[in-house]
Amino acid sequence: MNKVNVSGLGITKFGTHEGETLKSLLLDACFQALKEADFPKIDAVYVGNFMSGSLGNQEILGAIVANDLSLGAIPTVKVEGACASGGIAFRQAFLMIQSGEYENVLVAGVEKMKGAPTEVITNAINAAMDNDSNEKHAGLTFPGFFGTVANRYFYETGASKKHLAYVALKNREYAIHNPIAQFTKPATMEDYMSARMITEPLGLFDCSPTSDGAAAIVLSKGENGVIVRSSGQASGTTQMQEASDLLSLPAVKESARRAYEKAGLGPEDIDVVELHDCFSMTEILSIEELGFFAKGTGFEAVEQGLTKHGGVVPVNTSGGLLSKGHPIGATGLAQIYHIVSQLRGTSCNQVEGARIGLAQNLGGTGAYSTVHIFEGVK
Amino acid sequence: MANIQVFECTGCQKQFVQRKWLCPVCKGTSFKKAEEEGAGKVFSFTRIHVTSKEYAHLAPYTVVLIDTPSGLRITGRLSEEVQINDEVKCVEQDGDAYIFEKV
Ligand SMILES: [Zn+2]
Repeated sequence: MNKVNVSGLGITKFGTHEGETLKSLLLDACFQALKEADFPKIDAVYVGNFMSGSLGNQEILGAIVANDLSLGAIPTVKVEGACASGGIAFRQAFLMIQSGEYENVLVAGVEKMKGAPTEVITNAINAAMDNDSNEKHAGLTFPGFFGTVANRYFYETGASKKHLAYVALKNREYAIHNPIAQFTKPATMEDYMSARMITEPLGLFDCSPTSDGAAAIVLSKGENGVIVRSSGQASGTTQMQEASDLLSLPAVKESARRAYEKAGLGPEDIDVVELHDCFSMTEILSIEELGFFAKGTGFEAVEQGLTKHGGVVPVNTSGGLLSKGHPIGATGLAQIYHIVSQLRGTSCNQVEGARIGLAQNLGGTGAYSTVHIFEGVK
Repeated sequence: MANIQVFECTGCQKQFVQRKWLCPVCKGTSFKKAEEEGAGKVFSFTRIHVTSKEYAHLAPYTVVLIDTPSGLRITGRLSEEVQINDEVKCVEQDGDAYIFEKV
């Protein structure tokens, strides 16, 4: 099997891009990545995106990239896996180079969410749940799933809202130093506690924002710079009432198990992590499911600062989805952008000497998860 | 009190709130409809303040996960506030949603 390395990175600022279209964001990020890779001959394009159809009445994103960047008559695909669209697109590109089908692939992710009313956005995001169910008709929202999880987690472990705050405030501290982040103003515990309630016990600071943004990566056959050590993907439950353990994310655990096994590595080998903190609660569950902390103890780890620099493993040093922003289709690739930067030694909030990094991307309420492990080989 | 409609595997008698095509327990493919008493205890909940347009007129409302004595776990809605372990009963079916009240 071929080795696969990252040969180009591109990203836009995350936040509000008034007057800029989804297409221009997408092409800006792609152009940057192609330029950094020195314009290799691209064999295929994969684009991760979730709502360009429902919010922007725009599809055929793959063909637009090939056409507008003069890539020729190459095959292109748009990949949808809710918030894991980017991670799943990346995995397809990786597998195709690993298997020998392609040598250079452009992967991109994009979303344009700003400008639509909150109710419209909430409705579009709810497409990431099983809507043909009594659960959806009860009025459960996407954030509501993680609110229900948080209340049970509190009940079983003794955790409380301040533990969610530790996650949100940590990610905000990191975002302050990230030039592409959406939220770069410092926030205090008082700001956190007084924020408006979204779905109890989750308030505004516990929920990732709506964002515009794009990210792109060129993957190539080779073993220079940063290589992809492994890719894991799994599916999980699509309804809350069918979860056998509400306090677990089986897709995260299984995708990690597969990626660790293929890389011949374990959680103890990982120097830096980007994981899917769509909600503060999700970060606590995911540090448990990725094997960094025992089940039911993630809240103590965040209280003790074990997920910051100098702890067990720094988590979401980009600011995470919570503060860097969450343009849904771009998120999985933005996580990888940040991990690759960490392994190149060029990142904001640089983790000194980081050699192995992990990126985990979640879709739906645990319906999809991808885990990719990277190594800086210089 | 209103009942909950369930799908019961004719092979292993496991009950499901949602229709199944293949039983995850015994791999059986035959199911029959049955009714279960709509009562139980709150396993967890969230009180929703921000929601989509179609439910905005109900907000704030509570979505509950309920465990019934027969071993089902069902998602439903209440207008009032609840705590974990509160006893609730199903009072009506509103379209495809089960509406509960505190006992
Ligand atoms: Zn059965």
